Amino acid sequence: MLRHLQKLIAPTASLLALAIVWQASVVWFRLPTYLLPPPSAVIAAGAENFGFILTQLAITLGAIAIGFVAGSLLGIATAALIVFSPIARRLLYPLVIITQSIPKVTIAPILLVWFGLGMGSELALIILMSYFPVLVNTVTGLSAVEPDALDLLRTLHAGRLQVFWLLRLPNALLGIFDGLKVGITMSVIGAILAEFIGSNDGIGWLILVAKTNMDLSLSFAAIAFVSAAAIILFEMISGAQRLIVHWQKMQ
Amino acid sequence: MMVQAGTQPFLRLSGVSKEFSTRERSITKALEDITFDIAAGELLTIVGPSGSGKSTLLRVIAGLLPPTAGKLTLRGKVVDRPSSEFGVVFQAPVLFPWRTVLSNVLMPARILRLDLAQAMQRAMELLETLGLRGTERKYPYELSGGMQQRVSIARALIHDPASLLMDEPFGALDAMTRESLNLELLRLWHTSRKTIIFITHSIPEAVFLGTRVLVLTARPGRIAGVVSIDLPHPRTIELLASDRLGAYAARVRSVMEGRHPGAAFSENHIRAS
Repeated sequence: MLRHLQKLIAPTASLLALAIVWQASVVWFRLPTYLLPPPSAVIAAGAENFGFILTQLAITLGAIAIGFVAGSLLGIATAALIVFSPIARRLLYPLVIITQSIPKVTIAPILLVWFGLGMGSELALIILMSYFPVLVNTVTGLSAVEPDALDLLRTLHAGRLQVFWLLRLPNALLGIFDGLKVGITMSVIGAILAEFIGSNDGIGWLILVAKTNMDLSLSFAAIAFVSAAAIILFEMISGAQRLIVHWQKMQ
Repeated sequence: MMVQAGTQPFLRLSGVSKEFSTRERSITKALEDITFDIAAGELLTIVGPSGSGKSTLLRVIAGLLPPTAGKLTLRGKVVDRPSSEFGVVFQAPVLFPWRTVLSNVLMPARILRLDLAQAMQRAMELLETLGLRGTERKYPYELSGGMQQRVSIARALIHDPASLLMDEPFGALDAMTRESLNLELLRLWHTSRKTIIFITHSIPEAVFLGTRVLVLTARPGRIAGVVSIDLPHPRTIELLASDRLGAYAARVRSVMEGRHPGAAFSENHIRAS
């Protein structure tokens, strides 16, 4: 625990240094607040609108939770199907590889047309953003099993389902978690983007509205909140990975 | 002792060949015309240089690879698919890292749907025999390489197979660990009287363990000869440094290099231990 805290000293120090330089430059160069608010103004805006920011953040996090879980489950299920059935592999995997390379943000405006303003298009984008990294990493994890382990199971006449549960799925856990870590990061991006282009609430909407009102202090405060939330979400998955995939030495 | 005509051997390979097609449609011959019998309860060691198809031969015997030509019979029945009559031990322990030692050992019993209470008792006995007491709740990564290979031997024995197939199981271990595992394998063989087929690239190891040593040539793997080892059992560690073992090792080496016509295959191939 103490060593964990010690690790935090250096980043805290550099963050503090950045804030001081930032504050000092704003004062020194007399930058107007509507261009670059000083950290003190950002903190003040955050404190003043604390409840409101949290409400908007909660709306965004709710969408992320639903979309991320749905996208991840879909990704894992598709991966299982691809690995389990050779026909599905031949039919689906090339499609996945092609669609995967489309930058998902480019179809955000189209999703808006299909699913309308608000939650519908936001969920669709989050699901798309988390689906692919989880899918691809799971396929890799399910496929990359030790040939000797497969042979061992074959000498015991293990069926395909047994091979899946006993070997492939646990073997894929590390990859699944790696996919989830990418997926959660993408989910946050997807949520904010969806709220930028077509929403009446959420933290992305708040950042945009505050900017329109030239209240950059509030924008910055909202950005700080959503960044903290993104880090916590990532660390939660990272922690679960260390706990569950305990046999894998983690960096 | 000669096997009487008409008596069924435990395992019989007749004219077994294995070819692999590689890139550019060329064909690699891994094994050519392998013919030999193994009697029940024998400890046959197979030794050969790298490229002699030792591992391929073991996989063919286990039913994991179909032979390109020839026939393989187990107690008179043709082997054409993997058989649980064999417990297989690979060069790497191939333990499942997410399972505890006990759970790894029990896995074959679960897959074969054996009585779990009985299997549990047998697992504890095997762990005890193999010097693994107290490790049952540990995970494989908490054990040394030698201990991991012991676990994999326990796993290979849990369903009480008639035979143990071992593919250079101690090749990756240090010399000391290897010696102690050799002795334990001999002890295990003595008490269980299982048929053991043990592949190695170490001639002294093959001579020390085997009742007979089957010598393979390289590329393609052919039988160069079979050497019966008439050293007393139980074999002790002192034997490893003895002249008698050295003499047998020299003979195996000369057979491998084709300098020893006296150890012709036909002379020995129907002899049991």
